[in-house]
Amino acid sequence: MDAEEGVEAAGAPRCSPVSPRRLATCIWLARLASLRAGVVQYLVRQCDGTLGDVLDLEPGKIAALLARRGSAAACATRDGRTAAGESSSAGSGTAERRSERQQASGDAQEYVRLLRLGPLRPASRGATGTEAARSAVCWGQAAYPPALLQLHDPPPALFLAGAAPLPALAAVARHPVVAIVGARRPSPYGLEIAAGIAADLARLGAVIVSGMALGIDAAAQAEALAATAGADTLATVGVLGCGVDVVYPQANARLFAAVRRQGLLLSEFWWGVPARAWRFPARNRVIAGMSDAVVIIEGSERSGSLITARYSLDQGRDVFAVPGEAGRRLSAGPHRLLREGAHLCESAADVVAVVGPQLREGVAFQTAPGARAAAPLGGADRALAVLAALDDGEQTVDQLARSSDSTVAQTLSLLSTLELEGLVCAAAGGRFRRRRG
Amino acid sequence: MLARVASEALSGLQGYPVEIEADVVAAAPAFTIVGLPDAAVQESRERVRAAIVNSAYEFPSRRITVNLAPADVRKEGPSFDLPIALAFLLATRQAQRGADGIAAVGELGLDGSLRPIVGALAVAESVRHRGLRGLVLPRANAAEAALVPGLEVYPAETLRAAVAVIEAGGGEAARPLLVERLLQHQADDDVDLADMVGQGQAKRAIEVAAAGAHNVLMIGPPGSGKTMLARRLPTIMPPLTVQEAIDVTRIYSVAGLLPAQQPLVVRRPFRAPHHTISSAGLVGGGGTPRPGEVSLAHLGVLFLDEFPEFRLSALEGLRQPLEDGEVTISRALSSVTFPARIMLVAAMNPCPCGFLGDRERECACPAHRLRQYVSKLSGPLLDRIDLRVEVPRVAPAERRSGGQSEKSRVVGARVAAARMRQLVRLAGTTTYANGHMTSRQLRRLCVLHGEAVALLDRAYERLRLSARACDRVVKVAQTIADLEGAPRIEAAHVAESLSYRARGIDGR
Repeated sequence: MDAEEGVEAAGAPRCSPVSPRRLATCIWLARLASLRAGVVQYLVRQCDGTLGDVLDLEPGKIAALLARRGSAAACATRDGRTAAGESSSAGSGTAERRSERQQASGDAQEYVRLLRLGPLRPASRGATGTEAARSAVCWGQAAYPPALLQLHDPPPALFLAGAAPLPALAAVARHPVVAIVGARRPSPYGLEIAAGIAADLARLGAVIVSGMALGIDAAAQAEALAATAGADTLATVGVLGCGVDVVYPQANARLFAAVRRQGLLLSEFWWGVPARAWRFPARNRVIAGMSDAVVIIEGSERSGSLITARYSLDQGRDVFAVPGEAGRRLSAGPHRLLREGAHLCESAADVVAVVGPQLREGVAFQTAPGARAAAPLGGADRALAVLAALDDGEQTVDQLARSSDSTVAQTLSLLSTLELEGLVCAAAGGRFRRRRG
Repeated sequence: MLARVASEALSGLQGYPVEIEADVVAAAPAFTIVGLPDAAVQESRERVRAAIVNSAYEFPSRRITVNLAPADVRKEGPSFDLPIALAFLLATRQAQRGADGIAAVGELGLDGSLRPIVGALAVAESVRHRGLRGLVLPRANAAEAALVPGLEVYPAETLRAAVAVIEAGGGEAARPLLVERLLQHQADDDVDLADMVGQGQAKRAIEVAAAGAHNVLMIGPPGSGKTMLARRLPTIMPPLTVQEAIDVTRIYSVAGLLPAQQPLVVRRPFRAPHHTISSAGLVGGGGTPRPGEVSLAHLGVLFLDEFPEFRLSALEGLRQPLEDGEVTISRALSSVTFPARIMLVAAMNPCPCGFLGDRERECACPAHRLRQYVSKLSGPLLDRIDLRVEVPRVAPAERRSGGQSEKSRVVGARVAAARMRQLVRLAGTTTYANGHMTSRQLRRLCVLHGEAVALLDRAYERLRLSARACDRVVKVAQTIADLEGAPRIEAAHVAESLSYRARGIDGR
């Protein structure tokens, strides 16, 4: 599908047709927003309205606002976020202020020039073969996720990548959407919980949204894909802090390929835009905006996951936190959220119980899949003894052998079968534990 | 006048004959050694001259030429001192030749005393192989040479004593040593499996490893007992056979590592080189190839602690010995093969700082360091390690409660029985233990019960095992079955075998 077709196809069905000028402004704003932090927010604040009001402005007015933003930034301003992004505090001399002003007036001039050229094509930046699958939806088009419209500063446009991006985006609107986010460097416990919750929720028909980062994000998304393998449903959406054609972090390259094949990648940032620190909070706002609920698994007190949680609270979404071990750095984030009134989450059931009844019309979790039957090797008695011992927490093989009164060899083979049945799993440090989630 | 004395030189672990010829003529005084001698052999002139004078012989002012034949092979080391001196004394008629058929090796001190040489066992074997009757050598090497049956070994302490042997065509021979008896009378090991408290899982793993000659990777935090376990592995392996003891002794003898009081290596070797070792030090090498740690661990255990910290080149160098059981070192002039049939026991921390998964301390390693740490272990190397076992830190409460631990002797008996079953099954192949089976042999010789196959298939699917990993599971399951004396591989064996995979390293 050609990128431009994508735009038009998305705009076609219902809803008032979007005027070409508005479309062009959307796309241009998206591009500008990809390069300068807080531009859209600034414009929205200036008009004292919504993004729609900004788009209704005369081009000349927008250009003037942008030019003013330049001088405003130069006066080191009320707009903290403007300065926070690209030109941060370090030695903000006059040269820097001048370049800020030049940038802004340059932006304005470019905007006017582009408008004169007629309708903008999203793929105008060198449409090559690989870019054929590109597509985008703009604010105001029917395909634009309605949930995002509730954001104070919704992205002017969303860029998509995937096997069938527009149907996938439509599917997001028809299913419960749960974000699972957490630490980039989680504990094995956190990974396990994330994988368990993601798999169960995906089986229940939820779309798992996350940020494609290392650790919890990747575990949740990979597990959601694995749990629904073979089924013809949308399992996961990856929201990026860079262009949808950029793979970041590289270590997740395989996950990117899988999501592109079976799921949907989505970003408010222009194609090819690299990942930068300021783009991640912006991405987190989109994750929060898209989701019916957010599950936070592990994170320190100042982590990006907490930013996502804040955005979710701002949007009135349900925030769930998975408790961790007391006193650990990674437990601090979720525990703080719990203290502030987040829902406690131990398994997918907690999410379903809270979010299920409040879901949008025509959207529901599916009924729970049947419990799995297990016939472990080495006798049911021994298996029960082992499972009972594991209910008290993680145990080493030696401890389990003692409590089930069997040899290490017998215990090892029993544990292997229980593991294959999904009843226990290996924890770090050679210990085993009951499988949760 | 011309005189000849038979001697021996070493090439790798083999002795080969060298003939020492000495010619003394009335001409301008000179002492030359020809026949590709190296520096140590050249210096032999000075030692020989002093030893002869200090032994109250005469060193005449004549032209003396010594030739080491064959002349096209480079000779090295000080072991030609004695035969050169003997040839010289015969050529100057200061000694009379008695009966023939006695070879000589030894290093001379300036006072005419004899110093020990390396590789006496290999030398003695070669002398015997040539069909010579006896061998004169330094007393310190006598016991070692006396291991060779059918060879008369004449120990000598000084040049004069050696001359006496040559003149008499014999003398007081060292008492032949019976390898069987030496092996029987070995003292108990100073370490025992029963010393270790707890770690039942790891003990079971090394029992399985010993039974099937599988290589092991132990993963655990510092201080959890990985080194202790590895050190006790040789105590549960079957005792050395006569031939094995000779093979190991030959390597130690050539490396110069045979203890003075101990002519025979009676225990399975345990080598634990530090992780800073060079590739040559680990697999062998040098200008004149010398056995490396893999060869010194031949028929025993090579323990590599901090496995990922070893140099990449050293680790990659392990692949050939692990595959073929020997190391070939090629040099411009020669290529030498050292045996290296080892059990590799590798140990590593779960992460660079060692505390990943620890309950008391938090791991401080950044994610990329963790990836780097594990990524150093190449796939081909890991493929040759059948068992991976986590060695958790033993909780203090458990350490106190302890419980009964089996003695090495008890475990060793089970291991020996399992090895016997493998020998029977593998009769007619080149392998003798499950750990060395090729995948063809695996398919031909391993019989799986129906349920075992079903379990394996399920594991293949759920755990996303590779085909190679599946082979490993079957190999280890076969050893577990052998330990139990089961005629075929049951589901329980496969299940236990499945637990010996490392989740953090192979993925799932």
